[in-house]
Parts: sequence; C-alpha cells; structure tokens
Amino acid sequence: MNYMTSLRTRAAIAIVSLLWINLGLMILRYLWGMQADPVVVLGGGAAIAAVATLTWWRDRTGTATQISTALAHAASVALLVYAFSGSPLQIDMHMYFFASLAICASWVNWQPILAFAGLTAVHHLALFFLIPAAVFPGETDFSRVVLHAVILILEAGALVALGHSLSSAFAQNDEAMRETEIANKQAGEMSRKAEAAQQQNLEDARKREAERASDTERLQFAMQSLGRGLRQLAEGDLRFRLNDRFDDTLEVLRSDFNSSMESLEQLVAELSTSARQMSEGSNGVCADAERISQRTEQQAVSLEETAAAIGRITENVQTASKRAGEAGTLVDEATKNASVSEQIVSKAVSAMTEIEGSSRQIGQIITVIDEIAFQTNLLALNAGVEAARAGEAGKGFAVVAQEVRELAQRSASAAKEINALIETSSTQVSSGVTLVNQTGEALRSIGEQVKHINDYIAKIVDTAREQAADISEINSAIVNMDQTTQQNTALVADTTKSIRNLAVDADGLVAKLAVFSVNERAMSTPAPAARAKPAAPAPRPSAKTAKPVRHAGGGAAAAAAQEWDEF
Amino acid sequence: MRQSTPDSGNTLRQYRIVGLNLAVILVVLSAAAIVPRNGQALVIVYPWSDPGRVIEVIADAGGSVMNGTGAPYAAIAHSDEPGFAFRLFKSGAMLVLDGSLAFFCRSTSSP
Repeated sequence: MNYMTSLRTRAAIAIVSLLWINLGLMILRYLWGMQADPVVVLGGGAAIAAVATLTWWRDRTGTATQISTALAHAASVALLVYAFSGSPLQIDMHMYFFASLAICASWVNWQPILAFAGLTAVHHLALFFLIPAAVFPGETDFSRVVLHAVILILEAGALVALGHSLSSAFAQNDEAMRETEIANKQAGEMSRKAEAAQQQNLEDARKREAERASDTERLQFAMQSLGRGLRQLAEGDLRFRLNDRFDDTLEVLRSDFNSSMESLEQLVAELSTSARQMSEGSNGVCADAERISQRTEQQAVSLEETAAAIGRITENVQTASKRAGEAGTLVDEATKNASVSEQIVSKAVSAMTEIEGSSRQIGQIITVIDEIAFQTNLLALNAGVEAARAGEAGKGFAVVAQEVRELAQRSASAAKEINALIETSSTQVSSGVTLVNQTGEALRSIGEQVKHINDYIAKIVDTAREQAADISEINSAIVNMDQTTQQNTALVADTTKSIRNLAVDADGLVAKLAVFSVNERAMSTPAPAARAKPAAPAPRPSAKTAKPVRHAGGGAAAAAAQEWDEF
Repeated sequence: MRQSTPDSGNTLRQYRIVGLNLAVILVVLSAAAIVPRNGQALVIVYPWSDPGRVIEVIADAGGSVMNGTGAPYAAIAHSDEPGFAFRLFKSGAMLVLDGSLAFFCRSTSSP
C-alpha cells in the first residue's frame, strides 16, 4: 500500500463519519424546531449517509466511492440548509458547502471535487428558480447565486490544483520508493544469484569429477565384463551373457555382445543338432546299406538257385515233349487197331446175318413139317371114323389109325418146340447183331477220339517245344540278372563303406562341436531345416542309434524285414 | 492524480454505484423540494373533478385556502396543524406539493 492509498483510506473514514455527524446536526436542528419536514430531512439524511457508507464499505478508496461520498456530502449539506429554512442562519449554512468541498478534497482526486461542485451548482440553480426559500432566506437575486458559484469554482479549482500537486508528489514518492525497493530486490536477487552461481559451479565441478570417476569405473567394468565374456567364448562356453547393465553409451556394446553370443550359441546348437541328426541318419543309412548288401547277396544266391531250377524245368519240359511224341505213336497204333477191329466187327455182323437167314429157313421147314403133322392127324381121325363104320372089320384099322394119330400129334408138338427154339435163336442172333453193330460203332468212335488225342498230343508236343525255348530265354535273363546282382553287391559294399566313413565324420563333427557349451533351451530349439520340412522322414529312433542295425537283435531284424517288404 | 484504470466491466460497475447514490440523493432532494413547509401546500385534485372539489378537499383536511391558481383543480392551502399533507391525501387530493411550487399553476394573486 502506497502513501496515497493510505491517506485516502484514513480520509474515507473521516468523510463517511462526517456524513453521520451531519445527520446528528439535522437531528439537533429538528429538536430545536424546524419548518422543514422532519421525515424528509432525517430520513433523507439517513438514506444518503447509509448508501454512501455502504458504497464505502464495499470499496474503501474506489473512484465510485470517492464520487459517491462527495455527492452525499453535497446533498447532506443541502438538506442541512433546507433544515434551516426560515432561520436567519440559513445563509450562513452555505459556508458548510465550501467546508465540505474542502473536506472532500482530502480524496486528493479531481473527480469527487468536480462531482461535489456540479451537484451544488445544479442544486442552487434549480432551487433558485423553483424554491428560493429552500436555499436563501428572505429576498434574493441571481447575483448571489453567481457570487456563490464563482467562490465555488475558485475553491474547486484551487482544490483540484492542490490535489494534483499532492498526487504528483505522492506518485513521485511512491515511484522513488518503488524504485528503491526494486533496486534492493534486484541487489538481493543478484547477490543470491551470484551465490547460487558459485554454489552451482562448485556442484558442477563435483559432479564432473564424480561423472569422470563414474565413467572410468563404468568403462573399466564394461571392459572387464567384455574380457570375461571373450575368455568364456575362447573356452567354448557360449552360454555366457553380460547381465549387468553398462553405461548408456556402452550399453550397445553389451547388447551387441549378448546378441552375438546368442546368435553364435543358436548357430552352434543348430549345428550340433544337425550334426547329431546327420550322425544318426548316416548310422541308420549305413545299417540299411549293410542290410541291402546282405540281401543283394541273398538275392544273387536265390537267382542262381532259380537258374538251376529253370534248367531242370527245361529238361522236364523236353522229357515231357518226348513222352508226348511216344504217346502220339501209340495213339497211331491204336487208331490202326481200331480200324482192324471195325472190319472184324463187320464180318461178325455178316456172319450173324447169315445165321439169322439159316434160322429163318429152318423155321419154314418146321412149318411145313407142322402142316404135314396136322394133315396126318386129320387123316388119322378120318380113318378112325371109317374104321368105326366098318365095325369088326375095321377094329384093326382103327388101332392103326390111332397110332398114326398119336405119331402125328407128337410130330406136331416136336415141330412146335423146334419152332420155338428157332424163334429164340433168331431173337438172340438179332440181339447179337445189334450188339456187334454197337461194338462197331464204339470202335469207330474210339478211333475218331484217338485221332483227336493224337492231334492234341501233337499240339502238346509243339507247346512243350516252345516252352523249352522260352525257358531257355528266361534262363539266359536270369543269368544276366545274376551278373547284375553281383555288380550291385559290389556297389552296395562300396556305398556302405562310404556311408560308414560319413557316419565316422559326423560323429567327429559332433565331438568337435561338443567343445562348445550351449544352453538346453538352445539345444531344444528346432533347427530351421527341421522346421521348414516337418513332413520329412524323421530320423530313426534313438534306440536305433543306441543299437546299430548291424548288431541289432530279432526286433530290429523284424523291422528291417518289414521295411524290406515295403521296399 | 491517480486514475483508476478498470476494464469496461469495472467501469460499468462504478457508474452503477455512483448512479445509485445519485438517485437516492435526487429522490431525497426532490422530496425536500416538493414536501410542503410552513403548513403551506399546493393541493391538486383530479382535473375532471367538479370545480369546487379542491375547496372541499382542503376544508375536509382542516385547512384554509390561501390562494387560487390558474387551474380550477389546484389551490394553495394552509394549516398550522401537523400532518396537513397526510390529511389532504386522505380527503381526496391527487397531489400535494410545497406551496412555493404554485408557479406551476400560474398563481392569480399574492397573499
């Protein structure tokens, strides 16, 4: 707070207090007795003082407060003058206007002075024209108003000038005080800054020293760590990592070293895995190749046996062909015999036919004999009848006739028996002829079938001959296969040797890579090739590696046989 | 002199404060000007009232007519009893002013 404000704050209290003192004067005037309306005077005075006091309360030294209190003072004095209406002291109360104006000048501001003067002028002019008795007692004229106005203007001007001078002086004083204060502050600030700068310099020097020592220490630490890492690398331990952080500027070295070791470890692990897989694979291939060699030899032996068997088959076929030729000869003979039998049968048939004719002639003769017997019997009967008619003379004749008749009957019955025998003989001859004819037919068909057999046997002989030729070709082909198998056996033996060398080399590679120590994690990481070809045939199980196939037991042999069958 | 340099809002507020004070002052001073003093009052009734209405009002209020005016609805009355203005309003006056303001109504003669 500067001096001007302090002055105005104190003056405000006096100015506001004076408003209430004026109210007290009005009350005294009322008690003394006045013509003016007490409600207007006292109530108005209290209202004016209250509003001005509230204004001051809200803003103690503001411009509005200054102007409002000045206006309130002018109004308050006007009310006092009004309260003295009818009193000879009313004109003297006008001096209070000038006193109040001077009091309002304690604001040291032209605005309240001007407001006071303006309100007073307006008040006087208005009332002079409206109610002269309210401002001036008795008779008055405009010259009094003018005189009062001139005095008012003079006083207001003088007070404004005085206020201006005071204000300038206060302002200069305040400015000087402020400048002094600023200079003091600046000096203090400079001194504090100088001290802070010195302190800062000392701290910077200490910091630099500490940073230098720290840098040296960090550099030494980084170099020691790197040296330790390189020693581990030289000893083949790829698991080593630099876990302690380096300085920010050297951190890249640590990360590069760690990433290099990581890559190297990964690479060696993958190499190790690949070499191990290669070793396992080559061992498996070696065992397979040995089995193949073994089987190729077995195959050669089998081929030799097959060639011998085919030779025997060839001989058998030739023997069969020969037997077929002999069978053909026998069949020819049978055919010829069949033809002879046919002629004999024809002859037998002719003989039988002749016998049949002879029997038929015998039958005809017997028929004649039978007819003679019948006629004889008939004559004997007639002879008996004649003998009877002749009586005694005919008795003898009758006996002869009886005898003749019995003879005739016997002849007839004998003829009948012979006829029956000839019939039977004829029937049997006919059946004999039929049988002989059938025999001839059978012999003829046998002859024809023998001819067919002869043809078939001739064809069999031709086929057997062709088979013999084909088997000879098969035999020569098998001989060629035998030679090729022999060559394959030699090649497989060479291949087995090469693969065994490869397995030995792979084992050597594994052993050399075992010098490097890597993490289990890196070992378990699948090799890129294995990842790229997941469908590729996996190497044989480790049991196969543990027990090489060439020394494998029955289970491995069975597995190998299965593989061979698949092959 | 120190000049307050408020912004426009502050200036408006200052004007309002000064205007409020000035309004109270004008009301008080106007009341002082128009309220009757020394028992003299300018009595005004409604212009459309009967011509003798103003006389009746003054008589009812216990006052006496001191002077007439150019207007039939206004007259200057006097009473030594306090509360004359209040009694005039009670008797039917439209407006009661200080007697010295009779020039508004062009007084016809001096007492």
